[in-house]
Amino acid sequence: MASFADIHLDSGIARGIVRGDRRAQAVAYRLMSPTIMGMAVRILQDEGLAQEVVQDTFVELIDKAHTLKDPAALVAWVRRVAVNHCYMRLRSPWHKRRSPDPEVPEQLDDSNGDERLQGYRDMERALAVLPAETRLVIWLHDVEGYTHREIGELTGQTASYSKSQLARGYGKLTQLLRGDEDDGTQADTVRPACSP
Amino acid sequence: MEPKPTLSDLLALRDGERVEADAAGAGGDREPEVTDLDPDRLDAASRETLAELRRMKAELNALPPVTPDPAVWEAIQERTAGGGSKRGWLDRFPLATAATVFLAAALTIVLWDPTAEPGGSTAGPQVQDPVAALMVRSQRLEAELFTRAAAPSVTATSSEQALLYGIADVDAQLNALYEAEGVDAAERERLWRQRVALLESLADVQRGQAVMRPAIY
Repeated sequence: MASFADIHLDSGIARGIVRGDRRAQAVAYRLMSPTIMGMAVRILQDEGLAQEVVQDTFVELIDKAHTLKDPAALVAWVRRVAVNHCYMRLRSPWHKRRSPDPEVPEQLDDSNGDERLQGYRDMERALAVLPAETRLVIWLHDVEGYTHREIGELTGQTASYSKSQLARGYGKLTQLLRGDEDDGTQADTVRPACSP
Repeated sequence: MEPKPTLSDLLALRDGERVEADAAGAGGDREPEVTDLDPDRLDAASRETLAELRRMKAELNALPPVTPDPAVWEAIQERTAGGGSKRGWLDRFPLATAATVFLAAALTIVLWDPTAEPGGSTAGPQVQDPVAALMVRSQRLEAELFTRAAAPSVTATSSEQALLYGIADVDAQLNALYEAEGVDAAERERLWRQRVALLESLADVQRGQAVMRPAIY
């Protein structure tokens, strides 16, 4: 599981982070960085940028944790910071310029017999094809449990914008994962191994 | 006849979202009757789509976390060490240390019996409680370290930093112990022993450096 909701940070560790304790920071990094990285790499589809998000999030945590009034809210705070860092990168003109148009996913390796693993790979590839903001909406809504209104506030849009992005994203995902003909040949290449 | 639900309707149904509430925030651009969608009355195709939407959401949530490159943590440490290095190493002692110094000093005064017969130990107050003795020892070591830290050009080496973090960790545990209901005496003594041992190691490191410095420069 890759959600922040699955992170259980001991209250002593949280207090240690607020106090600036290095060991507590290291423990928090071990616990939280894979989730931040997982979210960032799936939204941004760029490993380098995702590593930057992890780095900036933790630097902000270490620099500002002493201002946190309630250590119990630390994980939620980190999630908000990490999401903001993802969104900032997503919106930056630099990222927009270098983001390629949705590509045809690579042909999957049919020799892999692990169906579950294959399912993960298909999902990763299908996600990569979606527009960046649609990926953001899908991830925040379906994995992180954001409401449409919260996503609207983050993106400066309305809740119905978030809702339509989610529907559009799932429409595309469904086509890709089913291998529907109406989306052209790229859909066929996502899950050839599942075709009877 | 039931209107055929849209993908958006099915997603709302999947997630148990109330359309009216969302519509209020979104400018009311939805049909309120969609909230009455009954999954049991959906047509076969919609039921299949709903099941697929649920499966995809489960797959998304099952995607594994991704471990960042080890260099990321190193970079974080470098970036956050800058602010810390501007401060003296003693500044990194947690507040608990200052409180401990105060506590140990107060305890020394309380335990020291000025009417005691001279001739026993000439080393100062007579302390019977092992924890109190450890506190006094801790206080003396800290006084020694504070004196040495006041000297100019003394900065913490990596081994000193490791010991300081160790002390901070013990202090945190002591704080937690004192905050807890009913103090565990054995645990308290163990932590105080550990604290004194760390302070002694720190003092040893610094004494060693004081001897080495003339040879280096």
